[in-house]
Amino acid sequence: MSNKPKVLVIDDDTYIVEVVSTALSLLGDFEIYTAENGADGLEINENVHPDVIVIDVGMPYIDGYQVVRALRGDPQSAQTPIVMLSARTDARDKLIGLMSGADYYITKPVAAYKLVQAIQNAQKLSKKSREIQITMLSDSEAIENVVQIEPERAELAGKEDITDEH
Amino acid sequence: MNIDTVQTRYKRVSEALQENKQKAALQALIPGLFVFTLVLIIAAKFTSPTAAMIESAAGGILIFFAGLFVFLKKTRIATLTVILFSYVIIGLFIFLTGITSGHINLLGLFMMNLLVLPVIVTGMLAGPGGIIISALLSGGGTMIIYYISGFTSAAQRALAAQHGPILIILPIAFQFILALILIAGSFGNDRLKQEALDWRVSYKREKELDQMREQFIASVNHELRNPIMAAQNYFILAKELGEHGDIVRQQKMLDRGAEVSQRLADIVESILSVRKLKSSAEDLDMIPVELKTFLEPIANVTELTDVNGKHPIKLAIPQDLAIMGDEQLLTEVFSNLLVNAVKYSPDGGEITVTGRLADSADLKRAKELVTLSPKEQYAVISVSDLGLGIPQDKISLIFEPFVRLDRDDQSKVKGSGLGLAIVKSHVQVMGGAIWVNSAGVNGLGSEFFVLLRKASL
Repeated sequence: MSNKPKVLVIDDDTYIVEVVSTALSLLGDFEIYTAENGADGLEINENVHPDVIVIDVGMPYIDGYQVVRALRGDPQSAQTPIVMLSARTDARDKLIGLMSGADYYITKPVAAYKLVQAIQNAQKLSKKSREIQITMLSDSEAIENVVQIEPERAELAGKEDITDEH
Repeated sequence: MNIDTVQTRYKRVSEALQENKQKAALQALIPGLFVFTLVLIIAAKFTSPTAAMIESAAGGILIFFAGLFVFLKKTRIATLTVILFSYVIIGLFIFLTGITSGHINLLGLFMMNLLVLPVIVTGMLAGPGGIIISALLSGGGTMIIYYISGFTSAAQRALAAQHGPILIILPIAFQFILALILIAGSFGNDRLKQEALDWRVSYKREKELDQMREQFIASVNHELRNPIMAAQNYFILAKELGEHGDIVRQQKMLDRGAEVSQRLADIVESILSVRKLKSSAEDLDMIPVELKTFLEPIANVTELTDVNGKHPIKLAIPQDLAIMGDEQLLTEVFSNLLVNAVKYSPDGGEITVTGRLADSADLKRAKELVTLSPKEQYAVISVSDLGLGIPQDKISLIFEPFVRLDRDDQSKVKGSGLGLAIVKSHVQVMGGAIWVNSAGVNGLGSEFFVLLRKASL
């Protein structure tokens, strides 16, 4: 097992799959998994838990938006950085992409260097956000404790209020 | 001509038609109300006060509402008001003057003029045929009332008097003259109506073409981005691999780059070849084309250039069947359909081209797809093969640009995915429609139908 970060590339165009995965392994030192449709992509996601997912929008049967929603619905990939790589350039499409849960929306064509850089950023950011999450998690435990103490205080405060009225 | 021009002209004609309708309604209402008022004045002077009162009240309401609706440009409601009231008033008149019960007088016969009202009303609602029927009915009605009243002594005296014939001739003549005026008017209206309809058909058709073009451009935009990105990056990767000294993989990337560049070139080629898509019906050279003579050489060329084996093409087209079309577009349409039929058929599979007049089922199908001109006759040319057929879920998609069936990507059958989109565009620009029937079963093939305007030779 290598320690390389894993990227899952989902695109129905075999040429795109090839250039993206070659670029990522050559320029970016990633371990690559590929799928040519949404269903296969979801299955691979289940098995390998990628660090970053690169996904096309216009695909037959299940489009990229639907796949992203499904990925976000799965707790395992709810936080995985998702980069949408799309030939649709409308602001509307971009918005739908981001609203469905993607973190980045990159329009085709994009040069390999830029794409790899974007995916590296996405992966780094995800590391940071995970760290933040962990801090937040410990914080939230503290908050929970506070909340548990709170009812007693509230009761006391209520009694005080009543006394005040008299 | 662009869609805006068509839209403006359609609007202008529609407005003219609307104005004309209102004018016609007013023109018809004025003499009608004039006659009616005259009758009321005489009735008020000579018949019983009750009859005059009721008729005046009814007449007043009629004039008020008819005028109001004409003013509000609700011609149709004004017309209906006049119809309704004219029958009510005629009924009242017949009942009150007692024409059928023996109390007929000169005045009562003169009031037959009221029967002109339904004629006017028909003039506003219906065409020349309706006006003629209505005039005949009114004339007939007048005669029947005379006939019934003829049994009474008062009426007999009135009719026997010197002015008897005038009393009969006057209302009937009046009804017929008005009918003639209305018929003349309605012919003018019909012309405008026809023109408006023509413009509406062209407008709808332009809109359909416009939508198709927009969709086409959108998919071209989408379709070009993938191969551009692939080509660009195959070369970037080849360069990078070269720097790493990985010659084997570099070679592979270069090969792929060349491959995808070819795909890109094919797509660009197809796009350039469909610049005709931009054309609208006005840029075409529409001439009558005799189908059999026209299709024979296309079929021969297809047979001769058949690289997928041998596919006999049978033509079953009546000698005198001709359609209106642009020869260049027609050539592209039928070569494309025939080449497709050859491509997707097994070696030896027969291809049949038939031509016939469009029946009601064809027209119904075509109307679901495009706007047809109601005054034209249409012909249908079908191209059927015994090949693979088209899966049911793909039938609605095959005329869309860049749609290829999954099996094509794996098979030897090559294509840009634009052929049928071009064919559809060409057929629609020529004012026709195209559709396909297929059971999706290998061996039963598919049948493409092209509906085009029939030409008379």
